[in-house]
Amino acid sequence: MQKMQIAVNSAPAMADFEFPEYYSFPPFFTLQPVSATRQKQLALWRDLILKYHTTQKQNTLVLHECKLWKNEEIGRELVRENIRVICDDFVENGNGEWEDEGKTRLRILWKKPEELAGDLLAWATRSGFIGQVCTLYELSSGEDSEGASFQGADEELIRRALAILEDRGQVAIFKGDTSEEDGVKFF
Amino acid sequence: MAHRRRGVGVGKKKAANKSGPNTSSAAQALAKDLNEGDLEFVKRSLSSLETELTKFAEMHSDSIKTDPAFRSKFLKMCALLNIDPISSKQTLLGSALGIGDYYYEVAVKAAEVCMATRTKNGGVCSVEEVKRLLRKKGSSMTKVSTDDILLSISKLGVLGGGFRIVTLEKKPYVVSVPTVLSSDHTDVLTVAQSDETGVKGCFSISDIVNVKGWTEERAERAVETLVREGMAWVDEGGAGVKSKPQFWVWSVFFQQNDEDEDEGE
Repeated sequence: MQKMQIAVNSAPAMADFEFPEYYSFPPFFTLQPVSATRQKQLALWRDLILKYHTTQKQNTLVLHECKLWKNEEIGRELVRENIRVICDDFVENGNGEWEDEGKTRLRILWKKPEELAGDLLAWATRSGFIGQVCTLYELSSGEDSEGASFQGADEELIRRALAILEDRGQVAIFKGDTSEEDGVKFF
Repeated sequence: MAHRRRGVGVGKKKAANKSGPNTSSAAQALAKDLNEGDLEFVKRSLSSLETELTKFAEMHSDSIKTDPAFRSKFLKMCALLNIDPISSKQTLLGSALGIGDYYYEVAVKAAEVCMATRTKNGGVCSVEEVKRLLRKKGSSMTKVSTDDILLSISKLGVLGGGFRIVTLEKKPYVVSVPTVLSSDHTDVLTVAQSDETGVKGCFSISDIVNVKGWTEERAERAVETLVREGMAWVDEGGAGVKSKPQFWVWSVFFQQNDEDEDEGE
Protein backbone atom coordinates (compact mmCIF):
# COMPACT_ATOMS: atom_id res chain seq x y z
CA MET A 1 0.00 0.00 0.00
CA GLN A 2 1.30 3.41 -0.82
CA LYS A 3 1.10 5.52 2.28
CA MET A 4 2.01 9.12 2.13
CA GLN A 5 4.48 10.32 4.65
CA ILE A 6 3.92 13.97 5.19
CA ALA A 7 6.19 15.73 7.60
CA VAL A 8 4.38 18.19 9.78
CA ASN A 9 6.53 21.25 9.95
CA SER A 10 5.06 23.36 12.72
CA ALA A 11 6.62 21.48 15.63
CA PRO A 12 9.90 19.64 15.19
CA ALA A 13 9.11 17.11 17.89
CA MET A 14 6.12 15.75 15.99
CA ALA A 15 6.43 12.39 14.41
CA ASP A 16 5.47 11.83 10.81
CA PHE A 17 1.87 10.86 10.43
CA GLU A 18 0.84 8.00 8.21
CA PHE A 19 -2.21 9.17 6.31
CA PRO A 20 -4.94 6.65 5.50
CA GLU A 21 -5.29 5.81 1.83
CA TYR A 22 -8.59 7.67 1.48
CA TYR A 23 -6.70 10.91 2.15
CA SER A 24 -5.46 10.63 -1.44
CA PHE A 25 -8.96 10.09 -2.86
CA PRO A 26 -9.68 13.45 -4.54
CA PRO A 27 -13.45 13.63 -3.88
CA PHE A 28 -12.74 13.20 -0.17
CA PHE A 29 -12.26 16.98 -0.26
CA THR A 30 -15.66 17.72 -1.82
CA LEU A 31 -18.64 17.39 0.47
CA GLN A 32 -20.67 14.60 -1.07
CA PRO A 33 -24.18 15.52 -2.22
CA VAL A 34 -25.68 12.09 -1.59
CA SER A 35 -26.60 11.59 2.04
CA ALA A 36 -25.40 8.01 2.55
CA THR A 37 -22.07 8.74 0.93
CA ARG A 38 -21.73 11.97 2.89
CA GLN A 39 -22.34 10.18 6.19
CA LYS A 40 -19.55 7.77 5.34
CA GLN A 41 -17.32 10.65 4.31
CA LEU A 42 -17.94 12.51 7.59
CA ALA A 43 -17.15 9.34 9.54
CA LEU A 44 -13.86 9.05 7.66
CA TRP A 45 -13.06 12.70 8.47
CA ARG A 46 -13.84 12.10 12.17
CA ASP A 47 -11.50 9.12 12.14
CA LEU A 48 -8.76 11.08 10.46
CA ILE A 49 -9.01 14.12 12.77
CA LEU A 50 -9.03 11.92 15.82
CA LYS A 51 -6.14 9.69 14.74
CA TYR A 52 -4.09 12.66 13.63
CA HIS A 53 -4.47 14.49 16.91
CA THR A 54 -3.98 11.49 19.14
CA THR A 55 -0.82 10.34 17.38
CA GLN A 56 0.51 13.90 17.32
CA LYS A 57 -0.48 14.29 20.98
CA GLN A 58 -2.36 17.47 20.15
CA ASN A 59 -5.39 18.49 22.17
CA THR A 60 -6.59 21.44 20.18
CA LEU A 61 -7.45 21.91 16.54
CA VAL A 62 -7.18 25.52 15.42
CA LEU A 63 -9.49 25.81 12.43
CA HIS A 64 -7.47 28.16 10.29
CA GLU A 65 -4.16 26.43 11.04
CA CYS A 66 -5.05 22.78 10.69
CA LYS A 67 -3.00 21.09 7.98
CA LEU A 68 -5.48 18.32 7.33
CA TRP A 69 -7.78 20.43 5.18
CA LYS A 70 -5.34 20.53 2.31
CA ASN A 71 -3.59 17.71 0.51
CA GLU A 72 -1.03 19.33 -1.74
CA GLU A 73 0.06 16.04 -3.28
CA ILE A 74 -3.26 15.70 -5.09
CA GLY A 75 -4.05 19.42 -5.26
CA ARG A 76 -7.25 19.20 -3.24
CA GLU A 77 -8.47 21.41 -0.44
CA LEU A 78 -11.67 21.73 1.55
CA VAL A 79 -13.59 24.98 1.14
CA ARG A 80 -14.22 26.89 4.35
CA GLU A 81 -17.91 26.10 4.72
CA ASN A 82 -17.17 22.39 4.42
CA ILE A 83 -14.49 22.58 7.10
CA ARG A 84 -17.27 23.95 9.29
CA VAL A 85 -19.62 21.09 8.37
CA ILE A 86 -16.94 18.52 9.18
CA CYS A 87 -16.07 20.14 12.52
CA ASP A 88 -19.72 20.53 13.52
CA ASP A 89 -20.25 16.86 12.80
CA PHE A 90 -17.16 16.04 14.84
CA VAL A 91 -18.61 17.91 17.83
CA GLU A 92 -22.10 16.48 17.38
CA ASN A 93 -20.63 13.03 17.45
CA GLY A 94 -19.08 13.70 20.86
CA ASN A 95 -15.47 13.61 19.64
CA GLY A 96 -14.78 17.26 20.41
CA GLU A 97 -15.98 20.53 21.89
CA TRP A 98 -15.69 24.14 20.85
CA GLU A 99 -13.31 26.00 23.13
CA ASP A 100 -14.63 29.43 22.17
CA GLU A 101 -17.92 30.95 21.13
CA GLY A 102 -16.59 31.96 17.75
CA LYS A 103 -15.92 28.31 16.96
CA THR A 104 -12.32 28.78 15.92
CA ARG A 105 -10.72 26.32 18.31
CA LEU A 106 -11.79 22.76 18.73
CA ARG A 107 -10.86 20.68 21.76
CA ILE A 108 -10.24 17.15 20.57
CA LEU A 109 -11.47 14.49 22.96
CA TRP A 110 -8.96 11.81 22.07
CA LYS A 111 -11.34 9.29 23.41
CA LYS A 112 -14.83 9.61 24.75
CA PRO A 113 -14.68 9.96 28.55
CA GLU A 114 -16.27 6.51 29.02
CA GLU A 115 -13.62 4.90 26.83
CA LEU A 116 -10.85 6.71 28.64
CA ALA A 117 -12.28 5.64 31.99
CA GLY A 118 -11.94 2.02 30.84
CA ASP A 119 -8.36 2.68 29.71
CA LEU A 120 -7.45 4.28 33.05
CA LEU A 121 -8.78 1.35 35.02
CA ALA A 122 -7.11 -1.21 32.77
CA TRP A 123 -3.84 0.66 33.06
CA ALA A 124 -4.09 0.85 36.87
CA THR A 125 -4.78 -2.88 37.06
CA ARG A 126 -1.95 -3.74 34.71
CA SER A 127 0.59 -1.47 36.34
CA GLY A 128 -0.26 -2.41 39.91
CA PHE A 129 -1.83 0.91 40.87
CA ILE A 130 -4.92 -0.62 42.45
CA GLY A 131 -4.92 0.49 46.06
CA GLN A 132 -2.28 3.12 45.32
CA VAL A 133 -2.50 6.86 45.02
CA CYS A 134 -1.12 8.87 42.14
CA THR A 135 -1.54 12.48 41.10
CA LEU A 136 -3.35 13.78 38.07
CA TYR A 137 -0.02 15.06 36.78
CA GLU A 138 1.46 11.58 37.02
CA LEU A 139 -1.42 10.19 35.02
CA SER A 140 -1.06 12.62 32.15
CA SER A 141 2.69 13.13 32.17
CA GLY A 142 4.32 10.60 34.48
CA GLU A 143 6.73 7.85 33.52
CA ASP A 144 4.32 5.15 34.53
CA SER A 145 1.74 6.21 31.96
CA GLU A 146 4.28 6.15 29.14
CA GLY A 147 2.54 4.80 26.06
CA ALA A 148 -0.91 4.83 27.66
CA SER A 149 -3.79 6.25 25.64
CA PHE A 150 -4.27 9.08 28.13
CA GLN A 151 -0.67 10.17 28.25
CA GLY A 152 -0.61 13.86 27.39
CA ALA A 153 -4.39 13.98 27.22
CA ASP A 154 -6.31 17.11 28.04
CA GLU A 155 -6.62 17.49 31.82
CA GLU A 156 -10.31 18.26 31.51
CA LEU A 157 -10.84 15.02 29.62
CA ILE A 158 -8.97 12.95 32.21
CA ARG A 159 -11.04 14.59 34.96
CA ARG A 160 -14.25 13.63 33.23
CA ALA A 161 -13.10 10.04 32.85
CA LEU A 162 -12.13 9.95 36.53
CA ALA A 163 -15.51 11.39 37.50
CA ILE A 164 -17.15 8.43 35.76
CA LEU A 165 -14.96 6.02 37.70
CA GLU A 166 -15.68 7.92 40.93
CA ASP A 167 -19.42 7.54 40.34
CA ARG A 168 -18.88 3.83 40.01
CA GLY A 169 -16.84 3.77 43.20
CA GLN A 170 -13.72 2.66 41.39
CA VAL A 171 -11.59 5.67 42.32
CA ALA A 172 -11.52 8.34 45.01
CA ILE A 173 -10.25 11.82 44.19
CA PHE A 174 -8.45 13.99 46.76
CA LYS A 175 -7.85 17.72 46.52
CA GLY A 176 -4.19 18.65 46.16
CA ASP A 177 -2.48 22.03 46.48
CA THR A 178 -2.85 22.66 42.78
CA SER A 179 -5.21 21.03 40.38
CA GLU A 180 -2.39 18.95 38.90
CA GLU A 181 -1.60 17.61 42.33
CA ASP A 182 -5.06 16.26 42.89
CA GLY A 183 -4.68 12.68 44.00
CA VAL A 184 -6.42 9.63 42.60
CA LYS A 185 -6.76 6.38 44.46
CA PHE A 186 -7.78 3.32 42.45
CA PHE A 187 -9.85 0.61 44.09
CA MET B 1 -15.33 -57.37 -15.44
CA ALA B 2 -16.94 -54.72 -17.55
CA HIS B 3 -14.46 -55.48 -20.24
CA ARG B 4 -15.38 -59.14 -20.18
CA ARG B 5 -19.02 -58.27 -20.64
CA ARG B 6 -18.20 -56.18 -23.58
CA GLY B 7 -16.16 -59.04 -24.91
CA VAL B 8 -19.20 -61.25 -24.72
CA GLY B 9 -21.16 -58.72 -26.76
CA VAL B 10 -18.51 -58.58 -29.45
CA GLY B 11 -18.27 -62.33 -29.48
CA LYS B 12 -21.99 -62.61 -30.01
CA LYS B 13 -21.77 -60.21 -32.86
CA LYS B 14 -19.23 -62.40 -34.54
CA ALA B 15 -21.32 -65.43 -33.82
CA ALA B 16 -24.36 -63.71 -35.33
CA ASN B 17 -22.41 -62.94 -38.47
CA LYS B 18 -21.36 -66.51 -38.82
CA SER B 19 -24.76 -67.94 -38.22
CA GLY B 20 -26.09 -66.86 -41.60
CA PRO B 21 -28.25 -64.08 -43.04
CA ASN B 22 -28.89 -60.93 -40.98
CA THR B 23 -32.45 -60.62 -39.89
CA SER B 24 -33.69 -57.32 -38.54
CA SER B 25 -34.77 -58.91 -35.26
CA ALA B 26 -31.32 -60.40 -34.76
CA ALA B 27 -29.77 -57.01 -35.44
CA GLN B 28 -32.09 -55.34 -32.94
CA ALA B 29 -31.30 -57.89 -30.28
CA LEU B 30 -27.66 -57.39 -30.98
CA ALA B 31 -27.94 -53.60 -30.75
CA LYS B 32 -29.83 -53.88 -27.50
CA ASP B 33 -27.26 -56.19 -26.07
CA LEU B 34 -24.46 -53.91 -27.17
CA ASN B 35 -26.07 -50.82 -25.70
CA GLU B 36 -26.77 -52.52 -22.42
CA GLY B 37 -23.21 -53.68 -22.24
CA ASP B 38 -21.85 -50.22 -23.03
CA LEU B 39 -24.18 -48.46 -20.62
CA GLU B 40 -23.27 -50.86 -17.87
CA PHE B 41 -19.62 -50.28 -18.63
CA VAL B 42 -19.95 -46.52 -18.54
CA LYS B 43 -21.99 -46.62 -15.33
CA ARG B 44 -19.46 -48.79 -13.63
CA SER B 45 -16.57 -46.69 -14.86
CA LEU B 46 -18.21 -43.55 -13.60
CA SER B 47 -19.06 -44.94 -10.22
CA SER B 48 -15.57 -46.32 -9.79
CA LEU B 49 -14.22 -42.96 -10.89
CA GLU B 50 -16.32 -41.24 -8.28
CA THR B 51 -15.09 -43.69 -5.66
CA GLU B 52 -11.54 -43.04 -6.74
CA LEU B 53 -12.16 -39.32 -6.72
CA THR B 54 -13.56 -39.51 -3.22
CA LYS B 55 -10.54 -41.52 -2.08
CA PHE B 56 -8.31 -38.98 -3.74
CA ALA B 57 -10.19 -36.11 -2.13
CA GLU B 58 -9.96 -37.70 1.29
CA MET B 59 -6.27 -38.33 0.87
CA HIS B 60 -5.59 -34.77 -0.23
CA SER B 61 -8.28 -33.00 1.70
CA ASP B 62 -5.74 -30.76 3.43
CA SER B 63 -4.22 -29.67 0.15
CA ILE B 64 -7.64 -29.08 -1.31
CA LYS B 65 -8.59 -26.90 1.60
CA THR B 66 -5.36 -24.95 1.93
CA ASP B 67 -3.83 -24.79 -1.53
CA PRO B 68 -5.85 -22.59 -3.91
CA ALA B 69 -4.07 -23.84 -7.04
CA PHE B 70 -4.60 -27.47 -6.08
CA ARG B 71 -8.22 -26.77 -5.21
CA SER B 72 -8.82 -25.07 -8.50
CA LYS B 73 -7.45 -28.07 -10.45
CA PHE B 74 -9.42 -30.47 -8.35
CA LEU B 75 -12.63 -28.56 -9.01
CA LYS B 76 -11.92 -28.50 -12.74
CA MET B 77 -11.50 -32.26 -12.62
CA CYS B 78 -14.82 -32.58 -10.81
CA ALA B 79 -16.48 -30.32 -13.36
CA LEU B 80 -15.28 -32.57 -16.20
CA LEU B 81 -17.00 -35.47 -14.50
CA ASN B 82 -20.08 -33.37 -13.94
CA ILE B 83 -19.73 -33.69 -10.18
CA ASP B 84 -20.39 -30.67 -8.02
CA PRO B 85 -18.70 -31.12 -4.65
CA ILE B 86 -19.68 -27.65 -3.53
CA SER B 87 -23.39 -27.25 -3.52
CA SER B 88 -24.32 -30.83 -2.76
CA LYS B 89 -23.62 -32.36 0.58
CA GLN B 90 -25.66 -35.38 -0.47
CA THR B 91 -22.91 -36.78 -2.61
CA LEU B 92 -20.34 -38.96 -1.01
CA LEU B 93 -17.68 -36.60 -2.24
CA GLY B 94 -19.27 -33.46 -0.86
CA SER B 95 -19.78 -34.91 2.57
CA ALA B 96 -16.33 -36.51 2.70
CA LEU B 97 -14.66 -33.28 1.88
CA GLY B 98 -16.74 -30.64 3.56
CA ILE B 99 -15.61 -28.42 0.73
CA GLY B 100 -19.11 -27.01 0.50
CA ASP B 101 -18.62 -25.66 4.01
CA TYR B 102 -15.51 -23.90 2.90
CA TYR B 103 -17.22 -22.15 0.02
CA TYR B 104 -20.15 -21.37 2.21
CA GLU B 105 -17.77 -19.65 4.59
CA VAL B 106 -16.08 -17.73 1.77
CA ALA B 107 -19.48 -16.65 0.48
CA VAL B 108 -20.66 -15.44 3.89
CA LYS B 109 -17.44 -13.60 4.62
CA ALA B 110 -17.29 -12.10 1.14
CA ALA B 111 -20.86 -10.90 1.64
CA GLU B 112 -19.84 -9.34 4.97
CA VAL B 113 -16.94 -7.52 3.34
CA CYS B 114 -19.19 -6.21 0.59
CA MET B 115 -21.75 -4.97 3.12
CA ALA B 116 -19.10 -3.31 5.26
CA THR B 117 -17.61 -1.39 2.35
CA ARG B 118 -20.93 -0.60 0.70
CA THR B 119 -21.29 2.96 1.95
CA LYS B 120 -17.91 3.88 0.52
CA ASN B 121 -18.10 2.11 -2.82
CA GLY B 122 -21.84 1.95 -3.35
CA GLY B 123 -21.81 -1.83 -3.48
CA VAL B 124 -19.27 -2.19 -6.26
CA CYS B 125 -16.13 -3.80 -4.94
CA SER B 126 -13.31 -5.32 -6.96
CA VAL B 127 -12.75 -9.01 -6.39
CA GLU B 128 -9.12 -8.14 -5.66
CA GLU B 129 -10.24 -5.89 -2.82
CA VAL B 130 -12.61 -8.55 -1.48
CA LYS B 131 -9.70 -10.97 -1.53
CA ARG B 132 -7.42 -8.56 0.28
CA LEU B 133 -9.99 -7.89 2.99
CA LEU B 134 -10.83 -11.59 3.37
CA ARG B 135 -7.18 -12.47 3.76
CA LYS B 136 -6.86 -9.82 6.44
CA LYS B 137 -9.58 -11.62 8.37
CA GLY B 138 -7.07 -14.37 8.85
CA SER B 139 -7.52 -17.97 9.99
CA SER B 140 -9.19 -20.01 7.28
CA MET B 141 -9.25 -17.10 4.84
CA THR B 142 -5.53 -16.37 4.56
CA LYS B 143 -5.17 -18.33 1.34
CA VAL B 144 -8.48 -17.57 -0.32
CA SER B 145 -8.08 -17.21 -4.09
CA THR B 146 -9.79 -15.12 -6.73
CA ASP B 147 -11.37 -18.28 -8.15
CA ASP B 148 -12.78 -19.19 -4.74
CA ILE B 149 -14.46 -15.80 -4.49
CA LEU B 150 -15.84 -15.90 -8.03
CA LEU B 151 -17.25 -19.36 -7.38
CA SER B 152 -18.74 -18.45 -4.00
CA ILE B 153 -20.39 -15.32 -5.34
CA SER B 154 -21.87 -17.32 -8.20
CA LYS B 155 -23.44 -19.59 -5.58
CA LEU B 156 -24.66 -16.58 -3.59
CA GLY B 157 -26.27 -15.18 -6.70
CA VAL B 158 -28.70 -18.07 -6.69
CA LEU B 159 -30.11 -16.72 -3.44
CA GLY B 160 -30.92 -13.36 -4.96
CA GLY B 161 -30.14 -10.23 -2.98
CA GLY B 162 -28.33 -8.75 -5.93
CA PHE B 163 -24.95 -10.42 -5.44
CA ARG B 164 -23.28 -10.84 -8.78
CA ILE B 165 -20.05 -10.45 -10.69
CA VAL B 166 -19.69 -7.69 -13.25
CA THR B 167 -16.63 -7.61 -15.46
CA LEU B 168 -15.29 -4.19 -16.39
CA GLU B 169 -12.34 -4.14 -18.75
CA LYS B 170 -11.55 -7.76 -17.84
CA LYS B 171 -11.49 -6.98 -14.13
CA PRO B 172 -14.12 -8.74 -12.04
CA TYR B 173 -16.15 -6.72 -9.55
CA VAL B 174 -18.65 -7.91 -6.99
CA VAL B 175 -21.88 -5.95 -7.13
CA SER B 176 -23.74 -6.36 -3.86
CA VAL B 177 -26.74 -4.08 -4.34
CA PRO B 178 -29.98 -4.97 -6.04
CA THR B 179 -29.75 -1.82 -8.16
CA VAL B 180 -30.26 -2.80 -11.74
CA LEU B 181 -27.21 -1.65 -13.65
CA SER B 182 -28.10 -0.99 -17.25
CA SER B 183 -25.47 -1.34 -19.92
CA ASP B 184 -25.11 2.45 -19.83
CA HIS B 185 -24.08 2.26 -16.18
CA THR B 186 -21.56 -0.48 -16.73
CA ASP B 187 -20.28 1.41 -19.78
CA VAL B 188 -19.60 4.43 -17.58
CA LEU B 189 -17.85 2.25 -15.00
CA THR B 190 -15.84 0.71 -17.80
CA VAL B 191 -14.69 4.16 -18.90
CA ALA B 192 -13.66 4.77 -15.27
CA GLN B 193 -11.78 1.48 -15.26
CA SER B 194 -9.98 2.17 -18.53
CA ASP B 195 -6.96 4.39 -18.89
CA GLU B 196 -8.57 6.46 -21.61
CA THR B 197 -9.23 9.29 -19.20
CA GLY B 198 -5.64 9.39 -18.03
CA VAL B 199 -6.33 8.47 -14.42
CA LYS B 200 -7.93 5.22 -13.36
CA GLY B 201 -11.14 5.53 -11.41
CA CYS B 202 -11.86 9.03 -12.68
CA PHE B 203 -14.11 10.38 -15.40
CA SER B 204 -16.07 13.48 -16.35
CA ILE B 205 -19.24 13.89 -18.35
CA SER B 206 -17.22 15.03 -21.35
CA ASP B 207 -14.98 11.93 -21.08
CA ILE B 208 -18.06 9.78 -21.41
CA VAL B 209 -19.35 11.83 -24.32
CA ASN B 210 -15.98 11.57 -26.08
CA VAL B 211 -15.37 7.90 -25.49
CA LYS B 212 -18.88 6.59 -25.99
CA GLY B 213 -20.18 9.13 -28.46
CA TRP B 214 -23.29 9.69 -26.33
CA THR B 215 -25.23 12.88 -25.91
CA GLU B 216 -24.47 14.84 -22.78
CA GLU B 217 -27.95 14.12 -21.38
CA ARG B 218 -27.46 10.39 -21.73
CA ALA B 219 -24.08 10.54 -19.98
CA GLU B 220 -25.49 12.72 -17.21
CA ARG B 221 -28.40 10.39 -16.62
CA ALA B 222 -26.12 7.36 -16.24
CA VAL B 223 -23.67 9.22 -14.01
CA GLU B 224 -26.46 10.59 -11.84
CA THR B 225 -27.59 7.07 -11.02
CA LEU B 226 -24.07 5.99 -10.12
CA VAL B 227 -23.68 8.99 -7.82
CA ARG B 228 -27.09 8.47 -6.24
CA GLU B 229 -26.26 4.84 -5.56
CA GLY B 230 -22.95 5.84 -3.98
CA MET B 231 -20.88 4.08 -6.61
CA ALA B 232 -19.26 7.30 -7.74
CA TRP B 233 -18.09 10.27 -5.64
CA VAL B 234 -18.29 13.87 -6.83
CA ASP B 235 -15.08 15.88 -7.02
CA GLU B 236 -15.36 19.63 -7.48
CA GLY B 237 -11.63 20.05 -7.60
CA GLY B 238 -11.04 21.62 -4.23
CA ALA B 239 -11.14 25.20 -3.03
CA GLY B 240 -10.97 28.02 -5.51
CA VAL B 241 -10.99 25.81 -8.57
CA LYS B 242 -14.09 26.38 -10.64
CA SER B 243 -13.87 23.45 -12.97
CA LYS B 244 -16.52 21.04 -14.11
CA PRO B 245 -16.99 18.26 -11.62
CA GLN B 246 -15.21 14.98 -12.02
CA PHE B 247 -16.41 11.68 -10.70
CA TRP B 248 -14.40 9.01 -8.98
CA VAL B 249 -15.22 5.38 -8.48
CA TRP B 250 -13.91 4.33 -5.09
CA SER B 251 -13.40 0.67 -5.90
CA VAL B 252 -11.57 1.35 -9.15
CA PHE B 253 -9.38 4.06 -7.63
CA PHE B 254 -8.24 1.90 -4.75
CA GLN B 255 -7.82 -1.16 -6.88
CA GLN B 256 -5.14 0.78 -8.67
CA ASN B 257 -3.27 1.02 -5.39
CA ASP B 258 -3.72 -2.69 -4.78
CA GLU B 259 -1.94 -3.41 -8.01
CA ASP B 260 0.94 -1.23 -6.96
CA GLU B 261 1.09 -3.18 -3.76
CA ASP B 262 1.23 -6.51 -5.58
CA GLU B 263 4.04 -5.31 -7.75
CA GLY B 264 5.95 -4.21 -4.70
CA GLU B 265 5.71 -7.58 -3.05
